[in-house]
Amino acid sequence: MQPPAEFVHWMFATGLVLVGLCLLAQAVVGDEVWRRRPWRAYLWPSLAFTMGVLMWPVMVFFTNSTIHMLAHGSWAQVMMFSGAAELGLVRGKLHSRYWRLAMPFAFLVSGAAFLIHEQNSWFFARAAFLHHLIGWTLIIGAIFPLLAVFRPRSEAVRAGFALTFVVLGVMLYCDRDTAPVFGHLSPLAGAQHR
Amino acid sequence: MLAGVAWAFLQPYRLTLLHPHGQGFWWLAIEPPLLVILAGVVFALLVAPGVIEDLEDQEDRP
Repeated sequence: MQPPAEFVHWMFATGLVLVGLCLLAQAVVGDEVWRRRPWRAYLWPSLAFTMGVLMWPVMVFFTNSTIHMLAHGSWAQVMMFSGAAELGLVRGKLHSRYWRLAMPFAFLVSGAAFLIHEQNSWFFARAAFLHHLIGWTLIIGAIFPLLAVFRPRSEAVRAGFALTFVVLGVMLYCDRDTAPVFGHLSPLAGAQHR
Repeated sequence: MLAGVAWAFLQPYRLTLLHPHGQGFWWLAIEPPLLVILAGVVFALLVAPGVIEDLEDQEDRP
């Protein structure tokens, strides 16, 4: 009954899309309207934290090498850390705006983990291509949560932050088990499955 | 939600539900276009109505 790895990627992609939709809605309507119902303020930080928690069983059951396991463990930790920091800020337990640096930190660590644990070149297979693409998207996309620390009301920054999650979700949806990318598939990658 | 429906029309072969013979649960229920539709439905039903209501309430205030 254990799902193949690509299904797990797609389920996490759905979580990222939901976080992106919440952030986008918050950027459009503004903080005052978004936080009028208290549960809504906790929504996307809780989703981020929960995804971090759920990453632990993924690390245990779906990784097949040490470096792969370490990458998933680092994602679990930084997702929980950034989600918890946002929850603390929303709740009022944390006061310094610099706690918001947890999110760009999470982006940078996650991006580095993607790039470091992918041992193959861009066009080795679709999975390799997506690892490089997602890694660089996270590192470049870290600019949005970083700018949001200093310009929290900038609509462009907030929209960019939200859309980064949506784009990351779309990239994860593109993952397939041993598949070509733009017609390239290294013979070393194994037989094409889909 | 519309993005998921559009994706299903563009790549109908991704919807294993359309040719379900011999497929297990994961292949039938967890396909990206279905998940995108699910995310849209969840947001549209659980989050969006309250946001719109609060936004209209905010705009009606003098």
